[in-house]
Amino acid sequence: MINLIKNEFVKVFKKKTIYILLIITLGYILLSNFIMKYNNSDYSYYYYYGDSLEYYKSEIKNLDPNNPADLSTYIQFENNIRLLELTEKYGNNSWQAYVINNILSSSINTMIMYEYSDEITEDAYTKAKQTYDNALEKLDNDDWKYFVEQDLKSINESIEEQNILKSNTKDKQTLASIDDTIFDLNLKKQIDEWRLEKNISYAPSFLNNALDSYYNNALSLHDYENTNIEELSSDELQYYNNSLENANLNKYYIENNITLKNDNRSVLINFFSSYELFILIIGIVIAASIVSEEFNRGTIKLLLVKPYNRIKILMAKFIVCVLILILAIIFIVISQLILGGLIQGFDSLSIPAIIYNFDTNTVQTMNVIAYVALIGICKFPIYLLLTTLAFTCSTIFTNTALAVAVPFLGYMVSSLINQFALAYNIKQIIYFVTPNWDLSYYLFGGTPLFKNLTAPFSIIVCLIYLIIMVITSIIVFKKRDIKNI
Amino acid sequence: MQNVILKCENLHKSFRKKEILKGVSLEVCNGDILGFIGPNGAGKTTTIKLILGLQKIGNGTVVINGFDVEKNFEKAISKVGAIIENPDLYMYLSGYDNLRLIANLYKNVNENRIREVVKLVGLENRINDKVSKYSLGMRQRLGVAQAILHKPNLLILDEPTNGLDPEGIKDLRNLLSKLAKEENMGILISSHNLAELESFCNKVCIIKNGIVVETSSLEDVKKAASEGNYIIEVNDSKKARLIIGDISEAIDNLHIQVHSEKANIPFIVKKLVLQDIEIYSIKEDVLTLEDAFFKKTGGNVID
Repeated sequence: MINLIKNEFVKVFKKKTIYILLIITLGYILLSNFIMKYNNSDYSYYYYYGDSLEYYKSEIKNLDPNNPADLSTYIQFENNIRLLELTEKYGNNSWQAYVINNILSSSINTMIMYEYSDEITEDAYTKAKQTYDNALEKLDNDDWKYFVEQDLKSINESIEEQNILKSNTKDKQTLASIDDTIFDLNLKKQIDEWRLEKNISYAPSFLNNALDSYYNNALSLHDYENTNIEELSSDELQYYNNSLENANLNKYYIENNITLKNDNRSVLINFFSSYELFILIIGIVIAASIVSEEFNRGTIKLLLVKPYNRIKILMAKFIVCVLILILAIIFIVISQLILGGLIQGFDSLSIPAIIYNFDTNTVQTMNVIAYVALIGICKFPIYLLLTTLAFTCSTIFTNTALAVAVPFLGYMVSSLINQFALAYNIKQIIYFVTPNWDLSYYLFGGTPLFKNLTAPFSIIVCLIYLIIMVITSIIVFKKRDIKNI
Repeated sequence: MQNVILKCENLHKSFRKKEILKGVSLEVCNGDILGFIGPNGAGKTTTIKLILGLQKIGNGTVVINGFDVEKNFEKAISKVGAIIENPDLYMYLSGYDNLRLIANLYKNVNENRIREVVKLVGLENRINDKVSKYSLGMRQRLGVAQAILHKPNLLILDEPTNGLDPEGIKDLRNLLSKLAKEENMGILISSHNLAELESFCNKVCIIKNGIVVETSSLEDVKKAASEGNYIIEVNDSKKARLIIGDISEAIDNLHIQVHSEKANIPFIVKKLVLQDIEIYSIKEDVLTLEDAFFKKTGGNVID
């Protein structure tokens, strides 16, 4: 048996196929790491478009502010032009751009309104002008903290107002809506306090994003505050957990001042979503050809007249497929680790993987390599089952192309099947393989795709499918008459 | 002392409803080279595949070295070497790597044995080239090499002369005779290339439409088929024909064929001499294997 396995290894590694696949994989790793290295700024605002400024400038010439029909459009265009011009001055990705477009826009609007219509009083105009002039000075002085403090001040005032409102209200519905408003204000207050404490300006950055993300996710969580989590449907629970995870992780990043970049570490953390396809291609192509090719070339006869029974011959081939799959995963991980390190530097690996644990409701950290290994073990059933499917098809149909195509189609359709079952609430889906084969859902107290699934159940389902496929191929292979080839 | 190495009894095999083999029995003893002859579609390859366990036996038994192929496959097949249809080798490997793979699967094959076999089949110079660069003749040699690598006592060759040039056939013949004599192997060799088999075998088994029509030694087959045919060379065949009567037939002006028992020949000669016919030669018309084959199978008809 050992000799059979050894021979199968020789046959696989003396063929060009595996080397071509590995070279393509290495090429992809190199390319994606280089692209990542030279293209590492993906936080930006998109307020300013040169084209739209030109557009507004040319369009406004056709409008007459004295014509009441054109007035509102004219004011709006004028407003856009001033905002865009001001933004252009500081640059699109500056903190000023954010302030101009989100805080100053109302003052600018008031000023324009005053010029062209009489809806605005002198007082209001003076106030707006004062705010605007004052703000321009702060913009030039790079004093973003001023705006945060202003915002904080107004939030505090609003909170007080709401509290007074609350004490005067008895109606339950109104009370609830006041509470929601207070929650929202407190959240914004927290964000502003973090900005000051951690020195996070409005300029686009990872932490600025984290603040936004924390705000949005904490707000979604608040919606679930009075809901019984147990009663949520599978997809609602996914959404809830997603918010819980994001809120906590972003909070952790902000509090510990951690900036994550697209670097070697991030590729490794998301290793299996980036490189899953390459792992599958190697596993499936080898498994799909290992039996059928012997039939197509006629060499199966050579093998079958050796003093080994057919089950041993087939199992040797299967074992080799599984070993090559494991080797391929290890090879690709190590290639990314080394090539990614050489291209993007190894220093990013010092930041551990940061994970939210649903069981303990805490954020925990883990060594990056250990994390990749753990995820790899949990995702292994996907690759193993698809490789086995390729192997079984290869044995049944003795047609390599078909044996490659079937598992890939299965892989592509699998998420669709899960979504379909979720949408139509098909309970029997839990006995199918696709909701069960990704065990990484169960890690760190996470919830599976369907509520009533558990890790042991999933493992058993995967094993049953595996055994069925292996036994089918054994029976077919054992009974097959070798016809003229 | 001859031992029976391979014994097939009453083999039956059907594909769907068509019966391919209708009770084939044959025997190979050590030292034998059994020619397994039949027209295309007679069931030669199917019989060989049943013997080697490549197809399920419908009915009947195959016993090799005392082990039943179906019940005890690993033991039965362990001293068998085979080439089925074409020598199917791994084209992307070198000749040596191919042999190395086979050697790994047997316990008694070491590096020396591989070298010995390579030398035996005369591939020393090209053994490290890829098989895809080999000519058909070289592949055939490598096929033989892989079949005899583990010193089998039964060698089964399906159409081994296909695609070989006369030189290659001569080499193969010498090699097989040597193996049969020196290693005391039993060899089963199927072919429709009858002229070639004649010089290979000492026994023949003729199969037609899934039935064995004749098994015996080569000489017996030929004798049986050619019993009592004599060709007499005379100066006037027409006249001679009139003298001898219905048992004779003029082939051309100078030759006449006589169908008769051996004991009658002197009397016929006497008759002719008395009638002033000049006789130049008399010879027994021994059929070639091919003639015998056509006589037995009634031509190459597949039904």
